[in-house]
Amino acid sequence: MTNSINDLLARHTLIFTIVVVIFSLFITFFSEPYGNGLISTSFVKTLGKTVCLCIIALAMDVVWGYCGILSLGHFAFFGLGGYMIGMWLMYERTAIIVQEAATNELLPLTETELSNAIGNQIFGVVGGYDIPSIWMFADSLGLQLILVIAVPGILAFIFGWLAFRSRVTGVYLSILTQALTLALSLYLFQNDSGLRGNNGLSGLQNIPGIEYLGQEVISIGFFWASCIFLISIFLLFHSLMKSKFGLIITSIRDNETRVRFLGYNVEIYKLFIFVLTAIISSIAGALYYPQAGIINPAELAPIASIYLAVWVAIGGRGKLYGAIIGAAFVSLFSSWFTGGQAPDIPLGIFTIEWVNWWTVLLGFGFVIITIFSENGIIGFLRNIFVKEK
Amino acid sequence: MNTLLKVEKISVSFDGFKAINSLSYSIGKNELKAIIGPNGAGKTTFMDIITGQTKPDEGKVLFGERSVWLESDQKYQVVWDENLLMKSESQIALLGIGRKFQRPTVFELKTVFENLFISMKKNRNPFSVLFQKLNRDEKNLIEKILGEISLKNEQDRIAGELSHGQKQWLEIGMLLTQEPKLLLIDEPAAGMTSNERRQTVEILKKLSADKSVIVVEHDMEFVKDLECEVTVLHEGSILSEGSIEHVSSNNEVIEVYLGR
Amino acid sequence: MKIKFYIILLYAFFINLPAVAHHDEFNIFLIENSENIIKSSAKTVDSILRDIQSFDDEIVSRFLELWKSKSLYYIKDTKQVVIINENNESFDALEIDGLTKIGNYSKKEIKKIKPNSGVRAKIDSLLVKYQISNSDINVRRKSLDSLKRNIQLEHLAVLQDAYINESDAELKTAIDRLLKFAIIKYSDSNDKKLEIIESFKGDTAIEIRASLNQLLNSSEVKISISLPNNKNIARIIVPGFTIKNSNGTSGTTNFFNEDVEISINDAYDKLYADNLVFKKRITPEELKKILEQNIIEDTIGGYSISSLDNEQSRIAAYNKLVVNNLAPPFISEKKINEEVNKFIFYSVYNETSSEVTNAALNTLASINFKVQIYKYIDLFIDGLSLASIYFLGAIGLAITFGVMRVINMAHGEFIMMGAYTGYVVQQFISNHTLSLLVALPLAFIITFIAGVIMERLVIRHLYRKPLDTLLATFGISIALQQIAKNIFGTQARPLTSPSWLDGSLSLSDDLSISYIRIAIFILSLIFLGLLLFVMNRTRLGLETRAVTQNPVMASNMGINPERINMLTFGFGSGIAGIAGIAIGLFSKVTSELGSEYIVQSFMTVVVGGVGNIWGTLAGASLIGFLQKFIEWFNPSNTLAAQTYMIIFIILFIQFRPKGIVALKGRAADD
Repeated sequence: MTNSINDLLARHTLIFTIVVVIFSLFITFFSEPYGNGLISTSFVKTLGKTVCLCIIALAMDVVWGYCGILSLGHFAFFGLGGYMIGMWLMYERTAIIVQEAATNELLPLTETELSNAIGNQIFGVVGGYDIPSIWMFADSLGLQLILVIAVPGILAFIFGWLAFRSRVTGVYLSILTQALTLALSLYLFQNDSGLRGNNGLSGLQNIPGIEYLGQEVISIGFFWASCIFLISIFLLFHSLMKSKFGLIITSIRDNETRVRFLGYNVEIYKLFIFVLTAIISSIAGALYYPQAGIINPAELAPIASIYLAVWVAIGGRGKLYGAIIGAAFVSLFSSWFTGGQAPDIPLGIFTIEWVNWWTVLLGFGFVIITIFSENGIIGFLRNIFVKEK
Repeated sequence: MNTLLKVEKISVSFDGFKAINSLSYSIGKNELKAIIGPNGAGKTTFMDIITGQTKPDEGKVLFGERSVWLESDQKYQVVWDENLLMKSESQIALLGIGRKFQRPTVFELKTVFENLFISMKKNRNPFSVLFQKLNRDEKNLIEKILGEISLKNEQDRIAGELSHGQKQWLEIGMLLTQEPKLLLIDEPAAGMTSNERRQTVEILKKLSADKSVIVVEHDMEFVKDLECEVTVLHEGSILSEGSIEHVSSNNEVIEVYLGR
Repeated sequence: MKIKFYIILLYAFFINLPAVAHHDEFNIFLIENSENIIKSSAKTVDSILRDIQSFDDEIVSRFLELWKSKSLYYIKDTKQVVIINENNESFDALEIDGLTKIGNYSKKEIKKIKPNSGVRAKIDSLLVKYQISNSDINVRRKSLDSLKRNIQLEHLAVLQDAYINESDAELKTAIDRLLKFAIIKYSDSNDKKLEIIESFKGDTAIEIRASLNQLLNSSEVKISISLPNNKNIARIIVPGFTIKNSNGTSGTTNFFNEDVEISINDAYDKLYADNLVFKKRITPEELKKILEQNIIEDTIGGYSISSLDNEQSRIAAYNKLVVNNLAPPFISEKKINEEVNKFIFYSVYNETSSEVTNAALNTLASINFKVQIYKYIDLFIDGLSLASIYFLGAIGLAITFGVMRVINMAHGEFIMMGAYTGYVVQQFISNHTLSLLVALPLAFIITFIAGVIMERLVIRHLYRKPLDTLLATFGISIALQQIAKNIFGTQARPLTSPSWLDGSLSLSDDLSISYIRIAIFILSLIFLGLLLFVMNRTRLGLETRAVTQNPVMASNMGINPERINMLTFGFGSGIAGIAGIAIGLFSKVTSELGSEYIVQSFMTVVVGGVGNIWGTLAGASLIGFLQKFIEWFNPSNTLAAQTYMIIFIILFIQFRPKGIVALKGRAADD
């Protein structure tokens, strides 16, 4: 019997992989560079970004839905990933521009002149031309990619180690993670943070070295990269949660004390999940922001992380595909409604303009889902399905 | 007989209320002992201290007595392997102290089999757990234990669907797969039918063949059936110790226990 | 005041007859000097101002006042200086006394006299002499104020006279102080100066500090081979190392990274400018320019251009040019250092007596010590008022989260609702005091009802699931915020405080407390008292505690837990509404008002210890004082201060997970 369940689950991942691949191919064949251009480049970017949001929603689902830690800080890791890759993108592109401009000069630039010119280009907006020491690796893609993993990883490790060690759980932990996020975004907001204050990093859609390909091609590339990463993360989490490790993780969620009395070091398990999901969030961010083109500290504000939890809750926590459905559903609807594409509803004396009222609908809709369907859309659908059976 | 657990003069108070007052206690290897006492006598707090959930204000909790030949003094010296006060709950559990809670505490959303699989004595390191599978011997062990706790036919059922008594047994089964040296069992008979009680007594007696067992109860009849040494706890200290006959003839015990 | 002045003049004319005689002479004087008055310059005005003093005080001061304020005119034909009374498009010209009419003129026939600022300053300085002895106390006070800004040597005698004649005690001390400043500045007697400087010890008035600092003004950077011993040296300057302190001494660069007084390169340039060295320093820019001017077929001085991408090779190429006499010689960094080290750079005090400057330094140090203490007190008050604000923000949470353990993320929006209630009430009731009195209970009622509705519709269903409550209330929070945005727009709305809350209680020049801060502090004390009273002394408080501790037992005893939960939640929300008005008074009301406080408010409750109102007080105090304390290190960067404060709190919770005021025992674990 156990085997038959496993078989079904194995088929699950297969179905998922096939669906995503077909979807990617479909998009590609209607895209501008490889198809008839029915799907615009900007929509490909929107889809690519949505896929990245699905990835972080998966991470959120594992840390919250499976492990029971309602982290209100995972979007901060997502943003950190964006900043880390953004540093390389911005530095390298500026360096290329500066060097191109320097060909008009009579003398080649010295290192100091080059660094001053780059610094002036990047940090002119915050009144400086010194390149801060945190940018020391920004000229190397490899090192900066390592930082995409290392910075959020270490931050999550230190925070998680401290918090879990002192047995901060439940809503207290949520408030603490929220505080961490607030601290991080406030820090980035100041001009001498070394990351351009509230200007953030911009021009990230221009990938140095392959700019000649054009945004149409680059956007398809990032879309594919995001989809492949989504599939791999789905498979990784799936097998992880299917293993004995996953059994223990969900047991921690259900009864932490019991697991502890069985001799498991609960803190290490939580830390493992917290750090792993933080790193995956960061990588998702590193894929997202080159498609978005700009990152600023407002993206890391605590509210973004709560929205993330809302997506997962709407989709259905504790199920991987629930998180994906929630993230895709809410973020696509959000951009449809707030983009002014949704038809306004005239009510005689008052017209509901969705640009203004979508958040209200989302807020109250979410309250209703939380109260009536603990497992979100997935739970709702399953209830119907089970009844028919 | 070697002593397995020794508790020396522990005291703990919550906001001025002395839950445990200078309590000393010990249990030997493969011994079965019972602790009884009315509500608020400090039974659960006592277990909390042994398992590391509560740290006492003073006193010692030692585990695993051994005799060591001292070359210099030309005599045996008693050493204790572990000071439990320095350990976390999971470390204490790993030393071989298993605990069954007052309310049956099993993983309600998991199957009976999975519950036993989780508690199986294996490497608890998360990196090793990632790739753990059951080998044939371990499968056989789980089968055997399923038999002992009469849940063989229920192994694929979700634990939350079991009856109250079955959950109690499942929890005892989980303790068995853990292969502990000392078992702390909190009110195993609560809410059981008389049939189930008799079965429970049998299981407990069988367990004490190769394990030390401390049973905490406030049901005198059940304790009588266990036929073991009994300690009566009252207001955080020991009121009386000895056989059930000895204890139940003690006037003070009668007063605190039956007088109410 | 003008009218008063006028009456005094009238009095002078009719009673004091000799003045009339003077008056004619004065007119003659004006006619004689009219050319210079009409086209006055700082050079020509001196003689007029000297001679004019022989006339009657009243008329002179009146004339000077009019001249300075550009109220004088002259008749183009006769060049007669007059004042003009405008009368229905026609202009009556009057003599300076304002009584004798000369004639009626058209606009074209007259012209305004406009003395330039240099002239006006000179007039002003003479005018002081007349004003300081004026019989009107307001005139005297005003003239003292203008003297404070610009005191001259010639005022010394005037002030001494004024001091003797002054009858008003307050003005007398002010004149005395001004006299002291004048003596410090202009007196030749060091003994007098020393005595006065000594008397200033411990007086923290800003003008005293300014006067002492002025005494300690020091010269520009001076250079010599050896240190002159006959001068009052303020400081020795090490180029590229020392900084200039405000009292003229030198210091070293410190944590805050102040700029050095003179860099080594600038020091060398100064040496060159003073002809103490003879080779000009070649800056990197000049070097680059000269190199560019000497390009010969992709090479410079034999070096290929592409190799010149670092400083060393550029210098090498440049030196080749030097050898070929194509460029002035290059001075290496080493050489610049050597040359600069040959000289001593220093600055001298403008005050020549070292005794005086030392005394001033000494007194300034004693004053600064006191000022420092004031700063600590100010810091403390800052911390106290921030703590009050945090307490106000968190106090409602202390009930809903602290006592009922309900995580209400929409708490901030209740604060916002309270603030908007205050704003809306002000639109209807223009009297700010009255509107405040109406708004306070109204805000309580509105948020109370909102809280009750939310409890009934949402929270009731989620009592056993704190994380779900957190998310559901967050949903309400974003919806309420957006609704507020849709109704009131995104721009900030003002909630104006009554005028009696404006202004501040001034304790010294460095220490003043605004009344609104005091009000908020008092308000938070009232809240604390109210809350303690409700929770400990009323039936609602008792029943609330009973329900939160053991709902089953409570309902067995006839308490309806549903009703109690509803009322308690309403009460906590209502208090948030009142807090919203208080917060709205000192910050702008926006739809995001609440969300700015929500994280801090939760931290306040958690840090303080959940389930205890005293804990919330302790938490607010810790957070408020700590934030101000961190800000104090780097006042320009409040964002960083908040960041470090939050990090401290995160660490604090690691070591005291149950907060400052922790409940112990099994009851506390759940």
